[in-house]
Amino acid sequence: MKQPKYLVGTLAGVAWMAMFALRPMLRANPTAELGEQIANIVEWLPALETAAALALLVALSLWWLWPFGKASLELNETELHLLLPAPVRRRHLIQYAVLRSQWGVLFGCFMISLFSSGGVPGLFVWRFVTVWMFLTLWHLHGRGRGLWLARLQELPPALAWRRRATVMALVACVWVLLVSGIASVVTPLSGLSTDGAATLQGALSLERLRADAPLFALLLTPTRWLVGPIFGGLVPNAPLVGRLASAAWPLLLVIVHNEWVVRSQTRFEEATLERSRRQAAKGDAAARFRKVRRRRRQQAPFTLGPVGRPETAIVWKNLMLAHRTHLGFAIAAVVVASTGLPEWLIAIMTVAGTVGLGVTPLMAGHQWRNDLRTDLLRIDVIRTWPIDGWRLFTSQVVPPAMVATLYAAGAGGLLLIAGIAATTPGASGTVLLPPDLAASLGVSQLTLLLLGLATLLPLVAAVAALSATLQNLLALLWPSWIQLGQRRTGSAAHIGQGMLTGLGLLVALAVGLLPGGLLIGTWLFLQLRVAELPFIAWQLPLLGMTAVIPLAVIVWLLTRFGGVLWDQLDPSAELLGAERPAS
Amino acid sequence: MIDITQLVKVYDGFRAVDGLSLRVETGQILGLVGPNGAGKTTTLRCLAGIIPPTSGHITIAGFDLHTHPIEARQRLAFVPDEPHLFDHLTALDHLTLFARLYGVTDGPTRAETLLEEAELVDQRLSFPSELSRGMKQKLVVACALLHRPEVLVLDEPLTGLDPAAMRRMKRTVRDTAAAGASVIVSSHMLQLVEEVCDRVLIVNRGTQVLAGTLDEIRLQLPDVDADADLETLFMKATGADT
Repeated sequence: MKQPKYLVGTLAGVAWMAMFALRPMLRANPTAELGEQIANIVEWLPALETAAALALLVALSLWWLWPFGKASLELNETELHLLLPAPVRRRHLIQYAVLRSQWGVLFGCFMISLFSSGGVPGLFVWRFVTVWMFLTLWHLHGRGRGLWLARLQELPPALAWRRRATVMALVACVWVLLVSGIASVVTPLSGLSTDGAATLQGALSLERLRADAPLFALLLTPTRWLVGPIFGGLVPNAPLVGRLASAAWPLLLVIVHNEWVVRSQTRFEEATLERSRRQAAKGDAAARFRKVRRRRRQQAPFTLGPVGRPETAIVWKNLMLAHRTHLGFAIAAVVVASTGLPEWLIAIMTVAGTVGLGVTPLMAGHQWRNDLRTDLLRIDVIRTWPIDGWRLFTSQVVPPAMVATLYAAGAGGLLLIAGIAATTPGASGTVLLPPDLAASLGVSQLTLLLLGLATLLPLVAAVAALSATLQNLLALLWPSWIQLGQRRTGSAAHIGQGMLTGLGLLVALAVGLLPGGLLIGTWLFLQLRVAELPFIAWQLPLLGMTAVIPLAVIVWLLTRFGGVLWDQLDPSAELLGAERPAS
Repeated sequence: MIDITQLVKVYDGFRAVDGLSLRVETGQILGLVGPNGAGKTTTLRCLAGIIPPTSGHITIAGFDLHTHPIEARQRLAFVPDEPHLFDHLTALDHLTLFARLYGVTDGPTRAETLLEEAELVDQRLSFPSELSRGMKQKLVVACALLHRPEVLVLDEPLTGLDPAAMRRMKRTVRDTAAAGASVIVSSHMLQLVEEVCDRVLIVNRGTQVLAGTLDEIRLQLPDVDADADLETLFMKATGADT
């Protein structure tokens, strides 16, 4: 945080998050508002508790049937080499590994509590504590189970077999009770008629379970006690003592599980070392290229001659990071039509195409990192290249935007195929577009689809370019906050930084789209309200271009700004880790 | 020709380079030596245009790096201490990329020649992760030499090389200078500097301590034998022998 820009970024991010968390609290009476919302679901709480307890029990029993588990602890290679020879007691070492994994758990608890407490501080604290107990318990249980399974390998076969058989017998007993209990729950549901909700609530109520399947109710008690406190926070005016008492069981289980894990005698060292090496290998982005076949190594998106604009070389290089496929094939694949497809396939293609067309451009900057975010790792190479800043910046932005646009075009191709298939004789034609819509605009469904694609594809390209431009600008402005390279780790710090930058990007993207939206709105207002001219389908591409032009101008301006940033960039401390002499 | 005048580089309040000046004529090889953190790499990075200097002037083959960065970079090649290559590009791809970046009209032919000289013909379709440290270093040098630079800057060029590769690297440096390039070699391997370089610049704490040919440096230091080697001179000059 030596540089003010990070302080500014942090303050803005924290303010944003705080506003998000505090906004509900700033309302006149958040508790009352939440109370109204809770009142609608409070009668469902017993049923929800039973369902959650049942799901947890099923998951746990199935987990124990699974014969594989991790005997490793969350320690990296350096920690292992330092800690194993050190005069540290074994249980302390395991305890350290257990505590080390708490960062992720705590961050997860914070986010869940933030998003589910409705701005009520008391509920936030309660949710945080109970979710923490649950997640910690889940984590410890998994770790303990893995170490227990590994321990079986170290024991004499007969003893190991007896232990395994005991667990299997226990799981079998649980499942016998589960099946009979589930049957007693399902039977009344078969009569679901007018008031299905009431029937479901009744079937899952504790009283009914105790009466109809007492053993099943008893079996569910431990897991019900576990999930109960999480739901307990929703009960209005519940006495504090009662709430605290309900947390005693999960807390006790956390303590017992912790002891179970730290007292393990399993030899975890080799498994942990192996795990840390696997983790390190995952981070080796270069490893995946070794699998590329010889013929594919000679392929490129296009042939790069020795003479011409140098920035084309950067586009060529970065496109190859996404795919070593010739662009001709990719473009040709889009222009495919098919007939006589079944409606269910047309429906799937329609959904996939629509989602692809809508999501791909927005995800361009996030999904494809074949740009500065990868190249900044080799800044001592690319800074020496004889290219103007803005040309270099633009050539970095183009590849991810291009790949995203191609994917979106592929999605559009799917829609087109679905459109052609849907309009063939025999097909109902209702899957893709409502027939009334096309008819009201005076064109066929297929024409409307083609016009829609002609409208959307340039817009998709522009949005993808904006998304990629913003990501690259961010990489230049706050390089320490951006995960450089192809791999993204999921550490709490990175997730937090990713959320901050993601929120900032969303705002920037929304602002970037605003001028186009305003222009279209003005156009339609003038046409429909002022001039009272009818809307015709053929004007769709023009409307699309109206949105594209201001976006293109914004992208152009931003790439110029990116070029200035690149020219003035001093990567000494943040990217090159400049060396200082020993004092 | 390389001309650096009163170069200063400050970051986070620390003066990594403090008023350093040097000049390397055409066909000359300058050895840049100094203890860790002396400012060698920072100087070379400023010279290569990787980091902007705080003040001072850098001229490469007659072009001011600040006012004519493209022209200056077009004539320069920098070989960093770590062979940073692109994971997803083969050896041949690297040369194709550099040929286009620098507009080398005979790029494909020259790439094949350089691959042969670097004994990387069999590895032309290999990715960097499939190359040894020495092979990577040779590929980086091949990329650097592709556009026949007028200025060659090498930072620790022998790190990780086997004896045969070291010998080839020394020959390459000499040949490049003989072809008319100005060369700067920064290294902790004082024998290399003594063997290859025409002149030596000893830096410490970002400033010049001594500069000149070995004979000139010997004359500048008191109590030094007439046949003292660079290691002895370096220890004396930087005060590391006390």
